[in-house]
Amino acid sequence: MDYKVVMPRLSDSMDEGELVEWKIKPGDTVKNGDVIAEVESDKAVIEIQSFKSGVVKKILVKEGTTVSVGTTIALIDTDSTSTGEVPENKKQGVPAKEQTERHTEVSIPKPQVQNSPQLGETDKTASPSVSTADLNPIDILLGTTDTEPSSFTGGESSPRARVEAKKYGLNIKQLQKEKKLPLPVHVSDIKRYYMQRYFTPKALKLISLYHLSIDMFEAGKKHNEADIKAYIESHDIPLEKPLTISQKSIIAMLSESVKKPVYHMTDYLDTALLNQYATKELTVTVWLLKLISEAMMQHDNFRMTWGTNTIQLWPNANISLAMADGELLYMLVFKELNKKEVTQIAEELKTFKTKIKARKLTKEDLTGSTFGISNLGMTGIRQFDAMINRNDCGIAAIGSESNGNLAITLTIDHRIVNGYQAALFMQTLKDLAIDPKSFKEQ
Amino acid sequence: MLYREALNKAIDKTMEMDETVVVLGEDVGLYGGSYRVTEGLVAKYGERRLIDTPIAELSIVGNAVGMAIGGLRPVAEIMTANFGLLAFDQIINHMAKYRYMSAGKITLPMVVRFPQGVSRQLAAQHSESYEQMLSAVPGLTVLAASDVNYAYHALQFAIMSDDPIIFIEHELLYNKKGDIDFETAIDPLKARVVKEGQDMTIVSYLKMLDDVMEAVPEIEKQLGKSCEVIDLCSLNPIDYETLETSLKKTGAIVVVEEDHKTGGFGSQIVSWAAEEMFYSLDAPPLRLAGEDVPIPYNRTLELASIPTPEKIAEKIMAWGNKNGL
Repeated sequence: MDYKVVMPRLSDSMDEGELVEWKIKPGDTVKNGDVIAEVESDKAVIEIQSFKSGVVKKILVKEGTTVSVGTTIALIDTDSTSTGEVPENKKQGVPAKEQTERHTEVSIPKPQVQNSPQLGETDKTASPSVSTADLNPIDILLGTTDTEPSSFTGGESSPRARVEAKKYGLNIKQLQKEKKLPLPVHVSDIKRYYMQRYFTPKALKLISLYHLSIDMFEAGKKHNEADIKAYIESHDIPLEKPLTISQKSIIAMLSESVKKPVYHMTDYLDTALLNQYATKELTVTVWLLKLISEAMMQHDNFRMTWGTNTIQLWPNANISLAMADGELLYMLVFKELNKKEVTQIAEELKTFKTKIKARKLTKEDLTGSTFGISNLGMTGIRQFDAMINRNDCGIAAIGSESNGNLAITLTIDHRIVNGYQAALFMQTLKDLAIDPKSFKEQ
Repeated sequence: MLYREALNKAIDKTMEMDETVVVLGEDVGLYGGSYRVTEGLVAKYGERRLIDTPIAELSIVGNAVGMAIGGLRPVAEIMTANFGLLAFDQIINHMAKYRYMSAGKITLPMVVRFPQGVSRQLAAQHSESYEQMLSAVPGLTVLAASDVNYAYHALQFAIMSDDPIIFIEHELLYNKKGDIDFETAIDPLKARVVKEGQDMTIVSYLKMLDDVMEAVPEIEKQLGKSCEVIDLCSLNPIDYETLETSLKKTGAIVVVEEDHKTGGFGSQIVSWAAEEMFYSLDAPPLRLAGEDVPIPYNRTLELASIPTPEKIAEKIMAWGNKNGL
């Protein structure tokens, strides 16, 4: 009788395991409790043991292969043993083959498997008076001595499992004889077998990724990844990605932003000085941070935010700068810009970029601003307007340069800054842009 | 609103709407009903429409049958189901049969209200359930009110129906709280999906429905499966359509009832599942019911004789584990 060694579930979260190393090879004799392989679960590398004695018949999974929990990885023949032990079913007095057949066909386990040696020879149907308390019928049926509690209920299949098997063209009795389906078999077992038999693991992954059903694919035919891809394309099925936590918070913030009563105002900055002073390190963005912080110091309203039933006036110019990273968007907050040199600002910008890559941004890095900047100039976009960040009172959207002019559009929360105040702010900004003093290192 | 207040409101509303509606029974008038269901109605409609009867159940139902033949819409109250046994001749031979025996010339627009079930230590002669006998009588419609909204709508439907209706109430439900949706009409003959789920259908009614709902979170947590819970509402006719839709989805059915298991009403549901839904079943049906003993007076034994939320959870989990759920 063949004992099937299966990939064990070594932790609650383990679905599959990698066969790291075999400690046995075909022909080896193993005893109950011998270490036969090393398996890597989602947590650690763990040794697995044989629960039966016998001779290794076949290794079914190569080293380095990952298989799902429950997959048979080796066969151990418990009949032939060179250790001189009496094979287990000989002890029971019933020829192995006969025993298996009878159990699978007669589905109801009869107590013919006891320790009484003469019984199998003389009376195969056995007397029910013999105790079977120490033998679990399903263990004998499946050829395993798992410590799992038995789920045997005395039938071979649920009615619904039969309907399901017919739908997929599976022969339950045959498959149970081959030990490919358990006794009794339920719908979930049929589905699992059918999926493993007719779908490649990659195909199943795609099916689950696209929320498809295995019933969408022709029964009794092998389906691989390409077949599933073809189905997805021909049926035009979208890939739905659940929102990440960051995406959700961005959506929540933007929805909040849209409730603000805003207006827009566009004007152009002279770029002669900006271009003159911009370097690889001290970029236009860095200079704009400096110029805008300067203007904010002259116009109090741009350092204001909403409190609880109050308006708060902040002493320093704290600016949030929009920075995209793939699908994510960050509003990096530069604090106390009024006190900082442009070189310091450039340094801070570099630090932020490193932090984004390392995903090390803290709450401190993303809060505390009163006004924002979004610069799309480098993309060549001429002019656009931006949405106000979180608690800010406004944002400046910077477009690209054209004929010595840089388009700058303010989006302003009218509750904090009115149009006249914004126009004065814009004027200051324009003046600063053409004033050489603004570009002097202090 | 309380369950008993919902029943009161339903009676009140029909009495106001239709002056042929009369209520009769023991202590339904001046005392306001043993469970306060008819409280305040005698002051509003007088003793001619809220009739206090002698302690004689056969005459209560017999009089109601006569009133119904004569054109009234009587609502008879049996104080507790066990006493209703005395009225079974009128219920089975007369109330259920007149329409049939008169080739449809006589209709009986009447309701008999049956408070029943295991309450608190009322002992064997005051604790039984008779839905199994009543639903086995052709000619009777049997409704079981498990919640406040259903009680309100279904009792009105029963009173205004032109056919005889047995209206079963559970004695422990009278103080159950709930909301009434006055705007949305319901079909009292349709079962109610109380909770949607994917992996098993749990069918119940009356007080056991509440116990099932109490057990469900534990079952779902332990088995990692979701339960669909159905309140049968109408025990005759049974809404097999709703059951079928659910069972086709889940493949497993449990029936929970308070009555003694042998010959209990749940056997009808399980027998239907085996006969009609065999190929949808992925597990043997499970029946949870009371023990086959007279209900004990001792509180511990009383609880031991019927399903409780703990026992329901435990047994459904054991069944689920055993059957690959």
